[in-house]
Amino acid sequence: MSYIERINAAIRARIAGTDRLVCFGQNISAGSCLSGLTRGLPAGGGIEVIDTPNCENALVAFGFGLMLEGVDSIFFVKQLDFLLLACDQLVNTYNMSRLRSGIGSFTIVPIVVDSGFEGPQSRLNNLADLCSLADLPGFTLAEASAAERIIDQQLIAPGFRILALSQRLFRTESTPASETPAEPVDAQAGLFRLASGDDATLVAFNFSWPQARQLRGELAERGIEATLFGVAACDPPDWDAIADSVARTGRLILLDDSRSRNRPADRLRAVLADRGIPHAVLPLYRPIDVRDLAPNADRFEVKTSHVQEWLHKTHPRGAGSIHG
Amino acid sequence: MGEDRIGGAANADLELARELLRVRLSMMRINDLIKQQAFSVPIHLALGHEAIAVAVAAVMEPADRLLLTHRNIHYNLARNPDLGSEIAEYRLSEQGLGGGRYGAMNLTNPARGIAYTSSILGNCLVVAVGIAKARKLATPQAVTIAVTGDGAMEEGAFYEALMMARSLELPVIFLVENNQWSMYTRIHERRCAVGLRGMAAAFEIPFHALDGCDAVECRARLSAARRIAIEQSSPCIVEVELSTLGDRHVEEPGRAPRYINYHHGAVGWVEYADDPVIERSDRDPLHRLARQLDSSGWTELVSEAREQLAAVVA
Repeated sequence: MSYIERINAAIRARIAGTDRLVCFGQNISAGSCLSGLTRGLPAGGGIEVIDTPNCENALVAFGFGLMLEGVDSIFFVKQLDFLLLACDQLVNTYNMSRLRSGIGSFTIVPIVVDSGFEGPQSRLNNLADLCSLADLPGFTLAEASAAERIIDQQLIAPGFRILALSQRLFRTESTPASETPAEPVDAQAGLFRLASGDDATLVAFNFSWPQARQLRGELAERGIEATLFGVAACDPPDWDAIADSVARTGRLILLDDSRSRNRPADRLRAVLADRGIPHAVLPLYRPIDVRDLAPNADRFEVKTSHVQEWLHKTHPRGAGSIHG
Repeated sequence: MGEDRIGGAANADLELARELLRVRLSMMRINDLIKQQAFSVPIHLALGHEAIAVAVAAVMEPADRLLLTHRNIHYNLARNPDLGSEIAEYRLSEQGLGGGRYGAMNLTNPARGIAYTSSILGNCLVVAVGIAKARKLATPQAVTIAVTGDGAMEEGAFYEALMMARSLELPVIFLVENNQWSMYTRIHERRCAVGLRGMAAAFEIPFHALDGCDAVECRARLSAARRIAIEQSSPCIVEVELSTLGDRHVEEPGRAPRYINYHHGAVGWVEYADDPVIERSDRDPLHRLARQLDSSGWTELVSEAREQLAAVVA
């Protein structure tokens, strides 16, 4: 199965388990159904599927209006950047809704345009940027096994959140057998452990989980065993598990494919500094460059040799003590 | 009809008249408190807007919903007879209508059908579409009324809300209070003319033009608009021509001295103790009401209204 097929199946399964729901968005039951995201949504009974006009501000408001009256809904949107048209609703109406109790569920499921050669519209590839507008609860669905848990717990639950997918991952193979399932440290909080080891702590943000898994695997081939965390939440409420790992390994490698200066990884670094945990840190961030505005391959690449060299230099037991 | 009859007004009209006076005097009392700097939150009075507010309150059924803007005081007062709870909310007291969480510009009252209020121009119009959808799922006999102004209708949200409501066949009354002003500029000073009748025609939805100084007419025509919206499961536009009373004289650099419209804060020259008729012209719905009654009837009605507010005013 592909990443999108698994996510589509998880969404359909979750929706089938509910009695009353309004699913809405542009072309969600027509054509490619948002490249397969919304294909075969169960409709009928108390579940309504609406193909809407193109008016994102009204569509986000529509979901908030339903939520205020206790009706659950999901807004599927083709591109994350389309939500920029709804900033007023995402900030002001969301903040008003936070003062209310007894509300329904409202979830926005956007696709991040990061598949390459999309031009300026792919500049906003970081869910955290959008979520920072109003402390919006947001989760990246960067890997199918973690996504399945997040969808199960968050897709329909009182309150509001954004669950974002990566366009670049849609056709990637994602059979459960092909990867070690993400182990939830706290699925509700959006934090997962993908592998364990004592030589370093790798933390993947936004949609960099595949690169982090690949890096972790290549390091392991060289005898370097790292703990790998995947951070799905844009603002995890609890960094304890990562902090404990860093205290043990003394070395932190951060991966973030965002084109942004607003990085949850930097909040982690602040937490570690506040707690006085000694460690060396290697941030593997995507450089921010005006050339990104022109169509390009939009790849986030990590050089394992560079990471290995850094690990040798920073090993607490002295350079060269790690094999490889 | 003889018992409850003051100065020749019919019973139903009399109740409307009492509500008009209550809302006007309540705002005049709050105006006094603003002058005394009793509140930290900005308050946008709606002196002159009372007729449409009491008409909306009169036609609303329990299943209906009302969505408001930053200038919401008249609707909140019309839907809530407890002036003390409004004042407490403006004081951000836990005893306030919203527990001190909303203040003035976002004051809601879900128990009385005021589902949502936004201080952002155009914001509530699109939220109303979602609320209307939820109401339609619950009952086919409910309307959602979204209030806006001639300034907020300039926002793209107005167009989007009309299109969404029409596309989804939702009974939403988009009620445009047209006082000709957006803060300190008149319509002709800031934009081209926009014919709401034509806009309604473009969406093939009903349009109703109301005289916002005539509460009886507002109630009757709004009631009809409500019925049609439910029967046709369709939105409509209601444009209410009215005036915000409390003009003030300003001298601005590069402009000739002029009177501008009241926007927010206190109206310095209005006092609770004064006659509730602020302006002896057709711009003031209270003046219109007073003319419909004989002198003794009007005096009796005002005394009665002041008596009911006496405890709060004290």
